[in-house]
Amino acid sequence: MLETIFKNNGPRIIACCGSGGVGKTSIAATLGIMGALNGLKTIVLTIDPAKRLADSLGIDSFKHEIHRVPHEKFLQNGLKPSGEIYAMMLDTKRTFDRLISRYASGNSQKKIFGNRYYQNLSSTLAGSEEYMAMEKLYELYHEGDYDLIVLDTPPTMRALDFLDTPKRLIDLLGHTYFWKFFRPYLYAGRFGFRLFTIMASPVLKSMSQVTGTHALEDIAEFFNLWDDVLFDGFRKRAGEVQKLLSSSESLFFAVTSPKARPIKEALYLYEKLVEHHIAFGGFIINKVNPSYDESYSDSALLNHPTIDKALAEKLRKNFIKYKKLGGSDASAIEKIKSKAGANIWVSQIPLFDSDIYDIRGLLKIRDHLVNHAHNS
Amino acid sequence: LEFERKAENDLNMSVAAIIVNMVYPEIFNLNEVLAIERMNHSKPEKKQPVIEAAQKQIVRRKLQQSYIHRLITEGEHPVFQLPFYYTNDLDRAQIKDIAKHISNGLFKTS
Repeated sequence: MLETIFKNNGPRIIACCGSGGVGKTSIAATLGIMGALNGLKTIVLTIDPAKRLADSLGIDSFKHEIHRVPHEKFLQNGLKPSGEIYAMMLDTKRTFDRLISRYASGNSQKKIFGNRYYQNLSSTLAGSEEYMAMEKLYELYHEGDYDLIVLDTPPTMRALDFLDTPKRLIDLLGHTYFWKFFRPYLYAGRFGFRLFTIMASPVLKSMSQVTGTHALEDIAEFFNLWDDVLFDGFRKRAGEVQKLLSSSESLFFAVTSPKARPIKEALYLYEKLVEHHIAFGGFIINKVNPSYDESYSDSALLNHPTIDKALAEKLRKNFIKYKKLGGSDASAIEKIKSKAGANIWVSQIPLFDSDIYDIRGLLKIRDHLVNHAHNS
Repeated sequence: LEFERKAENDLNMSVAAIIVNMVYPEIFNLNEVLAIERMNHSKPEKKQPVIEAAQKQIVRRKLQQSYIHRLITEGEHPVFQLPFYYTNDLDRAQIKDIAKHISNGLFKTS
């Protein structure tokens, strides 16, 4: 699997999906490095990387600008990539603004940017981060500057939320309870949501006493603009983004740890990707404890006359705990393998005893991915 | 640490304590750590799984403790720790134990 994805006819988009805390950013950064080492001009688009990892990729000080990871960082690790690697941290608000600029012009655009409800919504609305990640991905893809775009998806509550986001966001903006309930009043106030409109609804009247009439005016103005100016454009764009994600240009990996909940999420994601005919690269199971051979006996070592009895007992008990951990992880991996079937690539990355925060660490992940690819 | 600072400075929220979850317990004392090192060096070509597991325990605890130390020294609030249970799925007894640790920790901080 991995040998082929970095070839010229491989996918141009790789998305790493999974629950929060499973190490998606590290895996995405590793795949980005692998792209660069295979001669591709690669960009890693991330949302909120751990500070030390961001520092090591050079994206922290550059914040939301596209930044090239310095060549020296590879040279320091004895590597001379024939490609290049860039990194960028997503700026949800700026991406949202660009999207608005695309579909609204002149006075409408000015009104939206000046609308206090929009200013708040563009950075805090649930799902806007996921939607904008996809929007940025789409934008980068069509600009055509990169051979490979690796997307580290936002840590959603459910891995699949990422795929559903455009639809959910549009549904949310287009069909909220608020919108449906107040639509008649908002339309009545289309040419000025003023006091008489508020007074027509007892609920709006009560709300205005809490929020003030200006807040309701802002909301009304935004939803009117949304309906008149933005809705069609956003819906069309969401369709295009989803089309791109389901094309042969995109490949999805499910990143998980060997814990019950992330695995359940990863399997669910896999099923949904298959259902939507989206190309699935495989499962990358991160932070795996080693499995120990059941036939191994520690008696010879621990019963040796030179070893302190109390220490021997502690070693024995500790080993039992680690065997249990390894066994538990192995069962979880088996669960994935049996559900996914023999044709699906399943890779394991160990739980390292040190933190992964720089290129040296990412190369350790790379080694496991490559070795696993060769062994499977 | 960043959250602690931002919660109070930017959001005006009060932080009661910092809870560190899944902390590896101290199993081996310093002399035992050294003894394990010696055992490992005596036959490095044939690493015994029992020694390998002990080393993992020692290294992981050491790494965690360095971060906990940072939280204690650089943070401005009480830090209390919840144990690691060496399992992927907590049972009822372990959840009760966590609850006990949290209430003890919060009781101490209040």
